[in-house]
Amino acid sequence: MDLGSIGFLVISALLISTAILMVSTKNLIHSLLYMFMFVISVTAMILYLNAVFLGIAELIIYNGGIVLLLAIGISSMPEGTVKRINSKLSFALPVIVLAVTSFLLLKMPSSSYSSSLNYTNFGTYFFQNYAGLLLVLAFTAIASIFSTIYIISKGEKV
Amino acid sequence: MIPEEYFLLLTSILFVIGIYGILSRREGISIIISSEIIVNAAIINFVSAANFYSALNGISYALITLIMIVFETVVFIALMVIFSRKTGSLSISKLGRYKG
Repeated sequence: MDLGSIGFLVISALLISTAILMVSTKNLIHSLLYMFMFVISVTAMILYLNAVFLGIAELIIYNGGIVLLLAIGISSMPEGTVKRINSKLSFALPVIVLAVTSFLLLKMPSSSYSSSLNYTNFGTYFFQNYAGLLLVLAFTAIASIFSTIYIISKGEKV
Repeated sequence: MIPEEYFLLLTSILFVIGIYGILSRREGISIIISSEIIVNAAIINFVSAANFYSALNGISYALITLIMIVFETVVFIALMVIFSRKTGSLSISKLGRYKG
């Protein structure tokens, strides 16, 4: 394992751990501090990918602008506690999305009736042969977005 | 050299964490903080594609995304501050009272 791989693993671990801490903490200010660390990890990953200007821009714009803006916004809001919705959907949907994405990324079939199917031409192959399925998936996504907005607007009455 | 699939897997994990943050919170500020995770995952995707395919388009798309998210965050925070002062609560479930 060379230094580049170790660097990628360290930065990835930082990214995932700070992101999990951001969404799991009950205190909004703690969440903001974890976001500060998350943005530094993102900058590290962008610099690892040789995009120096974008990394510096990300650091200045996010940590110097958005985090500060969120802090001012939180301080001007009334006091309150963060409540978590413990529904099965909030656990099940991310797990399903991650499982499908991981399967597609890591176990892409190398041999099929269409030769040289890999992740670079997967989008083109899917759009040419399964356009109807894509339309159905798009309508499903739009319907789920509207239903989510409806559920949120209903609040505790659902 | 790290294969590109590992970067895509990393960004998909971050995307899923952001989705969980959005679905499990009622507060608007928590939702916007979770959406920042998703946007940063997309930015990493653009930059990794630009790095692997030696195309500067990805960097420019990432820069445009970065600038757009600033405007979106500013408008959203302003709306949430006004809304929370009117309702006295951080929860967006009280948006239902404003339906037509």
